[in-house]
Amino acid sequence: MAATTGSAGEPRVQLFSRASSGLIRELSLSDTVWYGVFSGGALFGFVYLFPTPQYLSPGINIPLMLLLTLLYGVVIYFVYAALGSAMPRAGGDYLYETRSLNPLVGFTVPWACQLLFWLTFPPAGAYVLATFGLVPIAQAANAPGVVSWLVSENGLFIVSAVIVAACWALTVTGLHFYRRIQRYVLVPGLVISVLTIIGLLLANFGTNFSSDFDRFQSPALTTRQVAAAAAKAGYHPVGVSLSHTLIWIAVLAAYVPYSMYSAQGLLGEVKGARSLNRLYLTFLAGGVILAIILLALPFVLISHIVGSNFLNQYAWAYGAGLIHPTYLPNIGVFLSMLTSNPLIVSLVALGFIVGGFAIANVVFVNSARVMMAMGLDGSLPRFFSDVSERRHTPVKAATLWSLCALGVSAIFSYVPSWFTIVLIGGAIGSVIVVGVTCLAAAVFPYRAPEIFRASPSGRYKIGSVPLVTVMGILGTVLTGLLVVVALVNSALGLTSTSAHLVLGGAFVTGVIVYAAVRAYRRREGVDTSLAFRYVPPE
Amino acid sequence: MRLKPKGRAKRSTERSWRLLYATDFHAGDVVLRKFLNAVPVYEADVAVIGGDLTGKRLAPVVEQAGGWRAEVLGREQTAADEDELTAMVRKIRGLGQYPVVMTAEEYAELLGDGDAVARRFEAEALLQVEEWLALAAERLEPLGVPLYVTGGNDDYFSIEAVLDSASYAINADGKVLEVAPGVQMISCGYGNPTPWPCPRDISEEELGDRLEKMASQLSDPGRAIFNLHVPPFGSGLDVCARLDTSVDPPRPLVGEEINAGSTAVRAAIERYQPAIGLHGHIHESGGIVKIGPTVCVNPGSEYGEGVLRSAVIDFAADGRPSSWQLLSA
Repeated sequence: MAATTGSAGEPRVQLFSRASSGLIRELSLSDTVWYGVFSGGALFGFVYLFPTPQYLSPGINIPLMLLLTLLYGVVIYFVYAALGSAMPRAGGDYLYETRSLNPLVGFTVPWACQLLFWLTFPPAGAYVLATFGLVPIAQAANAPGVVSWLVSENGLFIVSAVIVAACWALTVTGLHFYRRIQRYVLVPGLVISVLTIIGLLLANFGTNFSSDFDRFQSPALTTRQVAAAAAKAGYHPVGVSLSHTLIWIAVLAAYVPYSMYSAQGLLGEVKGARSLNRLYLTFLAGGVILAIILLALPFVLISHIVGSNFLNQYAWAYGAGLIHPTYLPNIGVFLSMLTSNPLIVSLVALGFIVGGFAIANVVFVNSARVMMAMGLDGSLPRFFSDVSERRHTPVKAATLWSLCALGVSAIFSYVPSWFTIVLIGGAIGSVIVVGVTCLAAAVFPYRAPEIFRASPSGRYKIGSVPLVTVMGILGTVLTGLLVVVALVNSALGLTSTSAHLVLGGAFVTGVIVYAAVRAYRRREGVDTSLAFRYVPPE
Repeated sequence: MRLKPKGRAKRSTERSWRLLYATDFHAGDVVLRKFLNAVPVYEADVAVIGGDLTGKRLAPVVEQAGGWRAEVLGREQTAADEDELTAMVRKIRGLGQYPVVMTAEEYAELLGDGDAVARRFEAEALLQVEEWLALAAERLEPLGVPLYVTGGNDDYFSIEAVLDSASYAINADGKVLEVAPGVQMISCGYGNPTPWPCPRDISEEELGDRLEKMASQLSDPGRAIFNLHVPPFGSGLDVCARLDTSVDPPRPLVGEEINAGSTAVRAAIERYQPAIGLHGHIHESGGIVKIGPTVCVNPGSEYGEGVLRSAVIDFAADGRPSSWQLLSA
């Protein structure tokens, strides 16, 4: 006898089970929520909250931006929950776009925006881990030499390489091991760190931050020098700018809504993935934790303690190159200024270490599954779907991808002019793929009517129009606007020719790879079109 | 003993005929229907359903004042009228469960009578297999596509009679059948012991004897298909969670994986080196591997999610496989 359920006042109806073999791997609801939180970078998002936005987009309101990003996420979560519950298996965007739109589009967009741009996340994660995590600990340990090395080109590359190696090892070891790491290391580390951060901020309410800053930056810099430099750079306080607030959603949209990332990677392993409500609530819970608890709340507290005006002055003075602080300005450094206790500094840093590592690892987990889905469909060579007999994981694909990630890490570390392209390009690439999937959702009920009708979202309509179509159109429009803003606004650093070449080149390589592999598979006698044909469920 | 020469001619990529294979439906009505629909969609010439047709759960749909109620996806749901009842029953069937509409009195009797539950399970399983076979005949006979079906280790022995009496489908279990000119297929739904135990769990020795008895009749093992429910041991198609057998029912130990395939199946494949091995049993371990020259396939199973996982294998005119791929729909 097995699962029971009940309703108020009635005897419970009980399912009867019989002894039989076969188990499906199960990922619990809480595992999935936390996976989503780490997919959204956890504390990684801080890297985008200060100081660049305040300098390039005066009047930006960070908490409002996070709230609006979460609202955007509410639309995106429905789209992914609807598609995921209709097609509850691994592959995510690749699966949805190839089945609902077109195999070429469905391959090229995830190829460019995920497999290629995801390569930027290991070095970006290493940057957060080193700058926000290891540097404060080294500072607290009074090890300036280590600090200098960590922020050097070599230091960043070596940290990136270590992360790539660790992620490779976790990927080839198998998801079960990652689940343990997440459950017993990453989640406790993040929770302890966030509680420490909030406790530290609350304990410093009403204290004199100026003296903390001056002591920390002594003798290189004082708050007075910062204010003077900001004035020289032309800074003057401005009110809230909605347009500047909206611009940066284009970047954060790649993170907060990505608590639906499990739709990409693990959906084939999530218990009850066929339930629209379950998926939607899972994604939403991750989004709320990310946007509100991990990012907005600490930022509001920091703004209150540091002072919004000083935050802006510091950003302007630094952005204009008029000050040269000993420690690069970021949220983590502010936290370090509030305490000299090495234990508290280390606990705060733990969250950034965990977040930086986790976002790098998530792209390994997901890219391995996307590559497997592509390989199984015949869109990539069989090499990518080969599974190690010993490990039961795609060792070959993970190894090749790791080597590529090392290459991108080197670019990230040693070519400063590509830093923004890599960091922001990765984020925008992730937004583009979401927009195309929203389009796939909009047409899903018409391209695959039988599958749609049989899916959980099939019963939700507004008038005669399927809700998934409405949300898909809304998501496409909103995401389209974000992408346009990102591509035309110089504040985000993607208006240069080299940025356009990188973005465009990624798509062109996708088309070339798709055509080449398809031709090769045809020569092998494999009909790759079979994978994209609809099989009616009735 | 090696029965085939090691070297092989370069394989032809020209398709002469196509085989569609899926397995472990476990009463999943949606996957069975998808499978039958996939035959024309994938342009298959031969269809094979591996074992484990029958389900694991029986869902009482209990009459109450003003409607019916049942557990669906872990939550209690109610149906107020016949249309809602039909939709509820359909949904339960799609999950691979047997919906049984009953009165509150009948339900109360079942709760206290384990034998009655077991009898009801078997009756519902046989009824559904009968319905499936009728539907298969209706869909596939006009296409002229033969359907080969076997039981699996989870299936009651009583479904043999249902399979044997099918008007169109062919019960392949324990037989050596020619599925295409020059291509023979042996089939076995029995499996090595599991922690449950299941109706067709037998020892490795007995399983080996059964396989040997069939394989020794093959005229050309190198072109044969081994349709064996359990995958070969240590192939990568047989990886599943280790179970804690100290509790009833056994439960998976998170993070601990084992190879649960059959050594007898592996030995038979290594000895006879057939062209293709069709397997299932371990739902979460889908994939394609080669053991020597043999292409071994386990499409996996996601019957509870309504996902049809299948394998399409093309054969050249010489009877050798020319290409193979796994598909999800």
